[in-house]
Amino acid sequence: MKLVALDTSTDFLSLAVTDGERVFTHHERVGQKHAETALPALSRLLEEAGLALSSLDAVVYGQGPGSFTGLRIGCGLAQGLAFSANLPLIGIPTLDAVAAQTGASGTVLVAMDARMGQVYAAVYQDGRCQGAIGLFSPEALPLPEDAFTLAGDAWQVHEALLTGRLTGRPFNRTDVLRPEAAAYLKLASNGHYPKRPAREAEVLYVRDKVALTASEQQARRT
Amino acid sequence: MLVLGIETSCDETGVALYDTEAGLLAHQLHTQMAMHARYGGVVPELASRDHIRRAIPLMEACLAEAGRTLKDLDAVAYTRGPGLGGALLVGASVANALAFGLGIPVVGVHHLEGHLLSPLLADPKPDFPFVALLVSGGHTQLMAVHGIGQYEILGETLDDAAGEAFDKTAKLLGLPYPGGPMLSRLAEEGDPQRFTLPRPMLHADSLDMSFSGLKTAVLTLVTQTQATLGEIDETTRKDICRAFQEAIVEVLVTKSLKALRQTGMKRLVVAGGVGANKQLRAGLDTAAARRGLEVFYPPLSLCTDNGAMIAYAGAMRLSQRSPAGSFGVAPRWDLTTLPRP
Repeated sequence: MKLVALDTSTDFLSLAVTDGERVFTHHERVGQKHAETALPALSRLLEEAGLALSSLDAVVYGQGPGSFTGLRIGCGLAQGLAFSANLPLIGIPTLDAVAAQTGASGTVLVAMDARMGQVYAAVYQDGRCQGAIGLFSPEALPLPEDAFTLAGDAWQVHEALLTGRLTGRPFNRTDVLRPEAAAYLKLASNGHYPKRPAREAEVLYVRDKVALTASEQQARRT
Repeated sequence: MLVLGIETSCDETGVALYDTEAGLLAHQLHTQMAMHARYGGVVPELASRDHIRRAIPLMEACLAEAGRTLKDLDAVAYTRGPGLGGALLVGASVANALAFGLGIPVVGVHHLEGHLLSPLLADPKPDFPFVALLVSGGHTQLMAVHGIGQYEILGETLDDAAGEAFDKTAKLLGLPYPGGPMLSRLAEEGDPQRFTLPRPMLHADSLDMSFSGLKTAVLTLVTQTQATLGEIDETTRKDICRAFQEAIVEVLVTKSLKALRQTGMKRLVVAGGVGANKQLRAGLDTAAARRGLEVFYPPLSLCTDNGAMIAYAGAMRLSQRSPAGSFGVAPRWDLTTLPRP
C-alpha cells in the first residue's frame, strides 16, 4: 500500500511516506511548532518519494493519547489531506506504535507521561493491546506478573515513583520513548485497523473528564 | 472565485461557500451551546474537541447545499484569530491541509473583520465609510470603517462585553446558560418603568463603555427586592430584566449616535450576536430615523459567529492569499494592525 503517516502527539513532528516498498521519514523535535512545520515537511517528503497525495491509498494518523492540541493538529491535518484527495483515514493509537517499535515479542508495557502526575498505559501481548489504554497514577499502574518489556517516556518523567514499583520485577527497559510515524505505516498495512472516511475521524483522548459541570462546581463549593 | 470559509474561534463551527460573482452559496453552522450549558460556560478543551468532529461534515453539507465539489474551490479562508487558541488550531489545521491537498491558496481571516463586514452580505448593503458597532459576548467596540483594512477604534468597553453582561446578569437571576437571549425574551414582557438601573459612562465624552458595574447594580437590586418582597416572583424578574436591557440599550444607542456625530458619518453598521437583540434594533432604528441616519444589520442568521463572514472576508482579501504550508493562529490579534487588501 502507498501511505502517508503523521504523528504530532509529542513534541516531535513525525512523518513517514511509503510507496509500498521504500519508506521515507521525517522525525524532528519541534516543540509546539507542529502547525508551522508539518505541511512544508510533508511536501518535501512526498517530493522525495516521488508520490502525489492523490496516488496514495490512505492517510494514517496517531490517534492518541498524547498532547490534546497536538492530537487535534494531527487529526485535523489528516482529515484535510484525506478529504482533499478523497482518501480513507486510518487512526492508530499512539501506544500501539510504541509497542510495535520495541520489536519485542511477549509482553510489552507501554507507559507514556500524561502530565498532571499520571500516565497513559496499556499492556501488549505479541503486539496486540490487552484491554484498553488506561490513565493511571504511577503508584497504581498495573504491572504484568511475568517478564515484560517496558517502553514509553513515563519512565523518564516518573522515574522516582516507578523505580520503587519496578524493583525486583523481571523487566527489560527499551529506549523506545515515543511513537514514530514509520511504525504506523507497518501497523496500517496489517489490516487490523479500519479505514474510515474523513468525516468519521476520531481522536483518542483517554482523559475524558476535562471540566466540572455546573452542578459539580456547585457541590464542590458547598 | 469560489472561497470556502471555516470558523472555529469559539463555540460555533461554521462553514460557508462564497462566490465573488454569485455571492453566498451555502452556509452551515453547528452551535455547541447545549454542550457548554452543562458547565455553565464555554470549556475551551471541549470546544476544540467538538470542532474537530464537526468541520468535515459541515463542509460536506455546504458543498452539497451549493451543488459544488472541492474541485471548484479557488481558495480556503479560515479564522486565524482572535479566539481560543486550541479551537482556532482545529480550523487552521483542517483548512491548511485541505488547501495543501487541493493545491489552492489559503487566507487567514481576522474574526472581527468577519463580523464587521458581515452586513455587506445583506441587501441593501452599506457603502463605506461607516461607523460599526460590534457587539457580542466577547467584544463591544465602536469603529470607524473607512474601507476594508482601514479600521479605527473609536471606543470600546473597558471591562465586560455587552453580551457577557447579559449572560452574567442572567446567571445571577437564575436563568440557565447562556441566559442572555432568555433574559431578552423576559425583558420584552417586563415593565420599563418599575426599576431604573445606572447607565455607566453614558454622559462621558469618550466613546468607551463599561458594563461590569451594571451587573453589580442588578445584584444590589435583587438583594433589596428580596428584602422587601421576600422571593423574586416571575413578574419582578421580568421587570428587572427589562430595567437591565433598557440600561444596556440606552448606552449602546447613545454611544453609537455620539460616534456618528463625532465622525460626521451617516451610516451605522451593527454586527455581533447582541446585534440580533430586538430592543437594541428598535432603539437604533428609531434614533437613526429621527436624525436621517441609516442603520445596517447582517442577515439575522449571520449575527452569531459563522462561516459566511469568514468566507466573505477571505474573498475580500484574496490579494493576500498565500500557498498552504506553514501556518499559525493568533489568539490575540489587534484589528487595527490589519493591512489594506
